[in-house]
Amino acid sequence: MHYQAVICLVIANWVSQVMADHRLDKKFWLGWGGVVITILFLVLGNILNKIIANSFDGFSIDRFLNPLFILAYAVLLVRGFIWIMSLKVVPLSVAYPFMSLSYPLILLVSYFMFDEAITLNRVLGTLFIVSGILFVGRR
Amino acid sequence: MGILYLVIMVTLTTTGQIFAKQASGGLVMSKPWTIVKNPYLFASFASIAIVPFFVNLALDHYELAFVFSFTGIQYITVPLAAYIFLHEKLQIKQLLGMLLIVTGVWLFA
Repeated sequence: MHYQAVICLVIANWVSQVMADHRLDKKFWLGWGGVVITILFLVLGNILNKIIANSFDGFSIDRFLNPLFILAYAVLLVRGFIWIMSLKVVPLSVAYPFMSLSYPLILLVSYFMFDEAITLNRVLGTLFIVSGILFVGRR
Repeated sequence: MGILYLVIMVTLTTTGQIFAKQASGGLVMSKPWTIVKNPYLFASFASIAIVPFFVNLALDHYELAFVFSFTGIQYITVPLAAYIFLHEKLQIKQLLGMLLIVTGVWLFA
């Protein structure tokens, strides 16, 4: 078996264990659901932004009144509110490091959706940025 | 031109965060006028509200992965601005983190 599959299985097992432990914990689901949605919305907002940038060039009114841009804007706006709401349940020092997961996610998305390259430099760069953010955010 | 959009993006996010911190001191949730009449809060919202426009324009010039990696610079500018304008403390650990982020973004470029 490939080691990637083993790592995925271990993570999946751990996640399902944690989920089972908190089956009836409403606060847990609201808080962590919020954190996960915040990350996904941030990625989604950026995907929409890139799609718009690919079909427009330079500043124009059309560009920013485009339904896709308005959707991207709304997604990013709603993300802010969901983030604040979930911080009511999950402590900032716990939730904050999870936000840096958006960096590897964007790298993957840009590879699969926009044919951008994943080079060794970019993987290392992502690792540096993520660990840097963990250091900057005081715990 | 592209780099200008990135710089504006980081600057606006930073000022937005600093204004948000300035605003938070005067906010009392049970007294709505402390929210409505808070100039710092409006300045904060205004700064952050313009950011997506510049992100979008920057994406004309650069790949998504690079533009997003550049947002990491915020984690350097916000603590530095907080140090300069709000007199918050900077720890060695944070300076180390900033160095890591700069290296990371440089690897992307």
